[in-house]
Amino acid sequence: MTERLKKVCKATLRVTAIVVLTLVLLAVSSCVFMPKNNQEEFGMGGASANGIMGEPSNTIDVVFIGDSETYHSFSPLQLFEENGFTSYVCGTAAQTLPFSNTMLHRALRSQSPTIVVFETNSFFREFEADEIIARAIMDTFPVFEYHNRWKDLTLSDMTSLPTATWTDPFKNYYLVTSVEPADAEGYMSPSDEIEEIPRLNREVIIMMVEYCRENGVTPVFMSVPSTRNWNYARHNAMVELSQELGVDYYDLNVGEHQVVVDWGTDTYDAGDHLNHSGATKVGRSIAPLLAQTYALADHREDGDYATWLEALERYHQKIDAA
Amino acid sequence: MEGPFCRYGQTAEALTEGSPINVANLYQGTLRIFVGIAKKMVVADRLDLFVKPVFNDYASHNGSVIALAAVLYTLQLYFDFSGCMDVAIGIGRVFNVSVPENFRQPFFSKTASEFWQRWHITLGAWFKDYVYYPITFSGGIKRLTRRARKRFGSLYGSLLMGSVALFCVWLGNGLWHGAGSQYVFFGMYYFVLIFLGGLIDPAAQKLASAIGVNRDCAPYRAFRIVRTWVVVFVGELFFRASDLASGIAMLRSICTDFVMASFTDGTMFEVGMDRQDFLIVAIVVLASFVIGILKERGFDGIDAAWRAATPLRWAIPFAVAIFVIVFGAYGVGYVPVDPMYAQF
Repeated sequence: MTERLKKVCKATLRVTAIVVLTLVLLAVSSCVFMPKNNQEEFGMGGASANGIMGEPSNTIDVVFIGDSETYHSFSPLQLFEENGFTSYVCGTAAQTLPFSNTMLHRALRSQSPTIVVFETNSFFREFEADEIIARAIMDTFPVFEYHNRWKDLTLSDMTSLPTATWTDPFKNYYLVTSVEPADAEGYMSPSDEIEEIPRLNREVIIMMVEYCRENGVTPVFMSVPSTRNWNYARHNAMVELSQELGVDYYDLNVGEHQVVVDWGTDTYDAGDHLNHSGATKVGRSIAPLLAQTYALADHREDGDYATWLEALERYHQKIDAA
Repeated sequence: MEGPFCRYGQTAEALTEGSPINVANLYQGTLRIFVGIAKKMVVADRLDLFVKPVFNDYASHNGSVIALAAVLYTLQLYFDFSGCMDVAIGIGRVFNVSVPENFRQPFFSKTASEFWQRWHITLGAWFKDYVYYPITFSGGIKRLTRRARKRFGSLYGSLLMGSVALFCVWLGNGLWHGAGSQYVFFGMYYFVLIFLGGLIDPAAQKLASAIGVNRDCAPYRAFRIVRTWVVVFVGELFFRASDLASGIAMLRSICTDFVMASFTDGTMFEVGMDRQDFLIVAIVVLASFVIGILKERGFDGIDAAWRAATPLRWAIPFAVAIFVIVFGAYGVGYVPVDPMYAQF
């Protein structure tokens, strides 16, 4: 072996050792810092949305992904009551698409839903390219996401493995009954304009659609009623994108799937989000639509889904008390 | 533009030479980068949680909180700026390009003048070469200096005329950071302090020897160092304040509304940093202090790490990296902080 070759081998060995050691350290520290259960008390961020990880495997038919519009518009327990299919809202406040992608991966880790509904408001929320990289790093090595748990670390964090046993009783639906009417003047005025979906957003959307299809899941785009966030230019953009990607698109603001919302009573923040009254109207509209279009199973008589009936009872109690 | 300001003669050759990267430089440069990132992400960015709300809304806080914010802002600026310099110097080291040091343990300075010889060294050197010397050695000033020496004596005459150049340097230094009134005040603050320091020092020396005070003894040195800290903290308070009026109001609050109990009753933990945040900052500041003492005695930590036994040599950068990953102020609950000096 020549001297030069020896040097190259030594350098390669050194670099390999450094890389392996780095990966091992990151993996071990990730295990230590990851919340040991999917609850807020354990340090889990966005615990309600992550409650899907605590649902029994392969029991969720529909997954909703998006920003705050999702958890104010889709009530899984109402949908269950209407048409018997199960669903979970994996929406978080001001969710950007890189995190939508993370939530999609988390959801499909233990569930094999028939459809994933992407609420489209977040499709227009801009983000920087480094957020995609940051998310990828955090998803691979959770120590980057949960490092701040050093403040609450206990001995059990070193000895136990992460698990997920908790689920949100209302499947991450936020029940709000207050009313702040919206000024709906000019809302959904017809226009030929097409709002541009940022290039990075398109890339992530395509990535998520492909991931769904690779996993045998049908992706669906849906725009919930909102006077503040939705308009015709966005509608046109979504029509164009859905045709390009071959994805079903339902705009609940306009057209054949429009939900007739009373903007004087169905919003709690002047048209930004729906309140329970508005969400109920959305539920009544989309439950049969999704159930029939995608042949979703009815689990209302299925004993394996008894916990959903119990949850439904608590849901009604909460609504009555609200 | 943060710095350090490299002179053409110091750097040009190394930049164009294209030296091969060697393991020693790669190691030492990388470790220096890690240390810089640790300073910025663990300390400076964390301190922003306390400093920003206080300076943005000082009227809602008492004098003790404002005083602590002024101290923490000084530390924040130091750890942010010197951390960024460590990264720049480390990158240079990796490629065998020598980048000048911009800090030399400034908090061990005994006077304001010495502080500025240890803080943002390359800016000070630039002002010295391009403002101070050209003014001092200009024909008009030289003639005036000769006249002043005749009139006020050699020492005070020189000092008086030197103050013209000093004034220009500090006005320039203030304006370098921005056109706001607080920056002009900041420059003038140091001009007055350094000028008065030069004026009083001969008398102070005489007084000290008359009353038998050894100016080189440790307690007196410590007193001078702490006195310099106070001067620097006040200067940085004005520097960070949104304008001169706010700076004055904050200083007034420190003097008239200083509540000692705020340090023990939990008030400090309500601003933005919790106990653990303070603890981690304290640990790093203390470690930096100890390393600073060793550096003053000629110890080079980066070089020592490279010369350590193999397991320790490789454990050190990993330990620093893990330290940053775990204790860095980033992610949920933290707002990314741009390099602070980049705005100047």
